[in-house]
Amino acid sequence: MFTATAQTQRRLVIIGFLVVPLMLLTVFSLYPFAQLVWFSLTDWDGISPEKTFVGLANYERIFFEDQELLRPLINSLYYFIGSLMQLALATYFAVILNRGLPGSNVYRMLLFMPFVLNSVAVSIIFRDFLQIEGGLDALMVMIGLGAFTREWVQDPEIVKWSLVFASVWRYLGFQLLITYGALQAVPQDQYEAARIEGASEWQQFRFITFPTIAPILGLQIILSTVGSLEVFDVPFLITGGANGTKTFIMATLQEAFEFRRVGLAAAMAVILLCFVMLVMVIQRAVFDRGGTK
Amino acid sequence: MSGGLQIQNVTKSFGALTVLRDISIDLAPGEFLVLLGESGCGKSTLLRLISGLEEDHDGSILIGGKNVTHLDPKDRNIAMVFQSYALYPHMSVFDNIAFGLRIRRMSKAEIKAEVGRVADVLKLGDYLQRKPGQLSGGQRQRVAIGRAMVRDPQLFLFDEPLSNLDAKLRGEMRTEIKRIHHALNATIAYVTHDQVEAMTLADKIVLLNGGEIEQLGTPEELYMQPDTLFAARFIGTPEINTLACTITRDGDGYMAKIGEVTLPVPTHAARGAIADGTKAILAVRPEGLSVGVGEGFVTTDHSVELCEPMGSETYVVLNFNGEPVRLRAAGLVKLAAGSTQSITWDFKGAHLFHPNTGQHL
Ligand SMILES: Nc1ncnc2c1ncn2[C@@H]1O[C@H](COP(=O)(O)OP(=O)(O)O)[C@@H](O)[C@H]1O
Ligand SMILES: [Mg+2]
Repeated sequence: MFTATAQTQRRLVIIGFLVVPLMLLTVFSLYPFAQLVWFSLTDWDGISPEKTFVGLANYERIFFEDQELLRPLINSLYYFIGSLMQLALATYFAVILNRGLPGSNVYRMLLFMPFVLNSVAVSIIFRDFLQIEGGLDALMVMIGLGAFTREWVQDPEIVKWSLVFASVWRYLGFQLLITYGALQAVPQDQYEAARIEGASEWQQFRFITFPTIAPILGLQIILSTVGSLEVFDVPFLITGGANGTKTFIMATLQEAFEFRRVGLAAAMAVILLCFVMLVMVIQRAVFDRGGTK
Repeated sequence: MSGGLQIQNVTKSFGALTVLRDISIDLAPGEFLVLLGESGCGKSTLLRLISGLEEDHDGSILIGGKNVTHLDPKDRNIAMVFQSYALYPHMSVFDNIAFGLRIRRMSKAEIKAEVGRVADVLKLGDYLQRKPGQLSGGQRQRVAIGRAMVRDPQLFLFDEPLSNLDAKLRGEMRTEIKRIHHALNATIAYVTHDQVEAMTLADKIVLLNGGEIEQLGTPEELYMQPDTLFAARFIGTPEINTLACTITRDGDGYMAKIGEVTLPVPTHAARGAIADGTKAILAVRPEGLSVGVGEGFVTTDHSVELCEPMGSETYVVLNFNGEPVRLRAAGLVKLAAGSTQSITWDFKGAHLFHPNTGQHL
């Protein structure tokens, strides 16, 4: 009969559990990544069986020749600013909900709902909502702000913020839920102790709540920075990238499937990946310092 | 300083559930009040009402002579020590203690002096830069007390502050709290379910039972003159011995008939006169009993159920017509389980209670 020492058995178990995830990782992440890097060094059009190695020509083109290609990254800045406001709002709502006011469950549901809705549905709702004489205008007229209506989607000055607003509305609930979860971990008696010592609501937040949830907020900032570099669905569905709302991902897809420059698109994807990694490294460094202080 | 703490006819309900009923307590400045009772009897609720953390009650509360019934916790000039300590985990010990002073915008130099003074009293000087997570339970407890002491409040509130500590540390902290009480001449309201803490710390004990005051008095009064069977049973270890009996008048005293046995009980065991044939509960503290035959006292024979030598004394349980009878014998005594022993009864401190209402007869 087959017998094995406890140690061998342990090794077998460890290897057994590692095989599947490592295989999946290789097939669906590492291999495509290697392929992506390889494509970015060719002039492949995505269809023809031939790929010619062109070295760093694609990268050269993106950085030095065709500046239009990087321009959509600027749009990420709007989404990033939006995501910071979103985080502040989410934290604010979470703190209020954490008070356990009557009906807070209903509010939590309402705020979370957009996140579970399908992107397409959300975007279509917003497209109609932001139309000229659409839902928003009607609402503003109703509450007496009719004079302030704008061409929310058509005005190139405003459209970016309109899209950011839609995106904030969609993802607020998700951040709210995460922040709320973190808040629940703060024992109530710390607040009670602080109340007895005379701390105001703001001081309670500043000295008790904030330090406790800071790591979670940090994580959310990382996620939303990465998210704002990768925005796609909401602007794609509402404006299709018209009116200067094209994001970097949209530009990449356009290069690959519309202009049939898969090599170039692959280079753009690699650049985005580097950006994202850079952001994470920087933020990790900042946080670790904050964390151990 | 005049004032202390006055609680006047306080009643508190959560929805349909009345948790406290008509509580009135008067505590002089510098006195140590212990709120004692079983878990769930409303001790914490009463303390939270005093602190203002819990609101919406009937009756009124005065602290330091001032009616604080409708004031915020911060305006009541109190400090509270929580069972869980409720320290701020990301702040150092120094910052934890200094928190209230910072909120009150005291100057840096003053804060440093104050925290230093408190740290000296509590022997925390070496730990000021540590985080609560790096401290032992007893040290955390001291930080929590330090945080309360530093503001020099009118009234200290403690909610079961020692129940998270092990037995040895509990004993030490008890002494510590007593010492602080004397050193600061502080007025303290202290919640516990542990009657030993109550007996050792209190100037005044309020025994709560189901949201009502069962008895209010000094530790001696509660121990020697319990008003009810509940109070008699709650205070004292081992628990007081209780035997159902029938009382008859016999010359200068009563006779308590328990099964076949008749025991002579002095009249002062009851506070009023008792009619012949009254059913009662006879209660005798374990120290009223001793093993062996004593001159001039009543003696009965019982079989031994349990004999636990503990070193300085031995805890013995005997069987009296199926009821346990507890006593302590001095020193190490070995009594075989099942053997029959003579017991000597001293009824000087005996009590008679009503078998249904539990009131002292
Ligand atoms: N916020 C509350 N809402 C409803 N019931 C409560 C609340 N706080 C306490 N109670 C109830 O009041 C009773 C007394 O509680 P408490 O004062 O915590 O008891 P103790 O501290 O003596 O163990 C318990 O039955 C408890 O369930
Ligand atoms: Mg309690």
